Amino acid sequence: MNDMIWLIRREIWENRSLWIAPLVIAGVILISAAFGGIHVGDKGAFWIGSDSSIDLSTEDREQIRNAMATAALDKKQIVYAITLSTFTAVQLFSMSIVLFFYLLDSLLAERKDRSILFWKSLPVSDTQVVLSKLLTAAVVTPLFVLLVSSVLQVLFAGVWSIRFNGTFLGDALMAWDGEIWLKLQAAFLLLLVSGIFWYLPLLAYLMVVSVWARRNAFLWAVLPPVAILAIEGMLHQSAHFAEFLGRRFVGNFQIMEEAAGRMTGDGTDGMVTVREVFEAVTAVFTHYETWLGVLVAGAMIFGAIRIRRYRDDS
Amino acid sequence: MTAIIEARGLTKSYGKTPVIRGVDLNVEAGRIVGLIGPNGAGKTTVIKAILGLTSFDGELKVLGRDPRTERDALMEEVCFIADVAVLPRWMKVSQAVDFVAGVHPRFDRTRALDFLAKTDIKKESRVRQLSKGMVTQLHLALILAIDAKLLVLDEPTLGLDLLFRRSFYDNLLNDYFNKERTILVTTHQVEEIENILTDVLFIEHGKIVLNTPMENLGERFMQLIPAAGNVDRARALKPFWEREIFGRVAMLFDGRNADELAPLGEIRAPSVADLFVAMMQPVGTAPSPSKEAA
Repeated sequence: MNDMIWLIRREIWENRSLWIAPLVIAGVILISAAFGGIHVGDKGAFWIGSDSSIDLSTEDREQIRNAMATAALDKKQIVYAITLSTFTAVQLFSMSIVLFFYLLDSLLAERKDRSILFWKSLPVSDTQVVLSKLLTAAVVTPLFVLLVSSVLQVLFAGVWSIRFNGTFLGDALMAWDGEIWLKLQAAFLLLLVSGIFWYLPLLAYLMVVSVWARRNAFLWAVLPPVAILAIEGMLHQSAHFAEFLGRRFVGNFQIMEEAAGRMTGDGTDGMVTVREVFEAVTAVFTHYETWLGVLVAGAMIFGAIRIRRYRDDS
Repeated sequence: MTAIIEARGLTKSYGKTPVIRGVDLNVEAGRIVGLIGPNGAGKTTVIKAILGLTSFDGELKVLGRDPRTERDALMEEVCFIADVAVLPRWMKVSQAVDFVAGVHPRFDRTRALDFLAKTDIKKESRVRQLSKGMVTQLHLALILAIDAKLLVLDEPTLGLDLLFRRSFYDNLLNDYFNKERTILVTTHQVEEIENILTDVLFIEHGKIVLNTPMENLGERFMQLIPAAGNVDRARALKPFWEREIFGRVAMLFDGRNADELAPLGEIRAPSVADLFVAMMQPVGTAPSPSKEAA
């Protein structure tokens, strides 16, 4: 356990993009929230950017103002929750790119710079090393990114409430509600956990490529699937492999959508409740494809450990 | 005395090329063994087999364990510097110390820091900012702070200047006298380590061709520079190597008595470097100076 903490710490020391990227994105969002080109004029006019100004007529302005004033609180809260969710979505998307490159490099970099001879001189097993890298990608980084996103949402709300206090934009968006925020975090946590289980075989695949390739891990990861797609297309004019891949990329969302379709809903249209998310996520966790993927991932991780242990090209 | 390393019939091939061909080894506790051989003789492969870094055939026990199956346990008691400059370049000196302290139960942080304090290495530097000599010093500081029974060093001073090489072996030797250690070292710079070795092993074409304690070396091998006129008589005693230096002939004998040779000219104990050169180029293959001149 103690070894594992040190091994994960070593991953974070070496791969600083894992934690710098979410912080930079959060910083950019906050700075544009505070100083970005959204302006609200004295009389309620607002424009975005300096060139493409939206000059609203007095009539339009009144309409918007009335709409905002009469809109129900929960409608405003939906707009607000969606705005906040966008930030988390952006963070998770950027995380998947960072993790893609992290995993591809995870078992290759140490062989390229021959530092594997140093790591192998210490009493940590290959199992521990490979698992530490998997845990960094599948648990530590996602949890950190989620934490940064949650804090970002709070800070964003704070910045906007100060900046647009008293204007109709403020009125429209300042439907801050701690309970909704908390539910939002719970929903994202559930989605994230189910996503990690669903995507585990993809993470494991990248690690196998990383431990196998001597160089150009990116090409080794991308070319074989592309080649299979092309060959199947040419020889059979079919796309079974494409369907298989597509299912692995978005299958968890499809499963959740099916589950949501079966649900009756509890009356609040638009706002998804935590219970609904929980049920959708449960559908993912009870689906055999999820566990088939976990099984395949386990086999690939086992393979990666064996290859790291017995490979001799230093 | 207990055997730290025991090998019987160690073999290893890369494809169809054999690299080690039936190596037998016995390293007793407390020895400093030099494994010496020309490039491609199989030194590094033997070392990698001992460290469980490569597959092999034959029997091998290191500290009573099989490096193929018990590598993880073995690494608690074995330390190695497999090569110079394999410390990760992104790492800070302080991180390297912290990490090894974190994962190695036998690591003594104070010792490592004391050692580093005597060098110019700054704790906040990254490995990539250090000179090659400093990286080796750092590596040595980490390794010597580990209370390991066996220390394996594969060309630890390759590419370092004389000052670093000298201080490296001084530090190693000081440490050796303070601790109960066994050291296995390979190097090209035979002259620099022959004074610290207790045993010497020559390896050639994947076979051990000489395996002897240093104290027996002087009894077994003799170098003779026969007086003029005695050259043919000396040759009759079958030297296994001879060469011309400064117009005189130097011959090496294996297993001849000093009483036999002394009347023929000057005798002395050969250096390990002399022996190495001689054994790697047996009679007939040695380029004689006269031929080179012609």
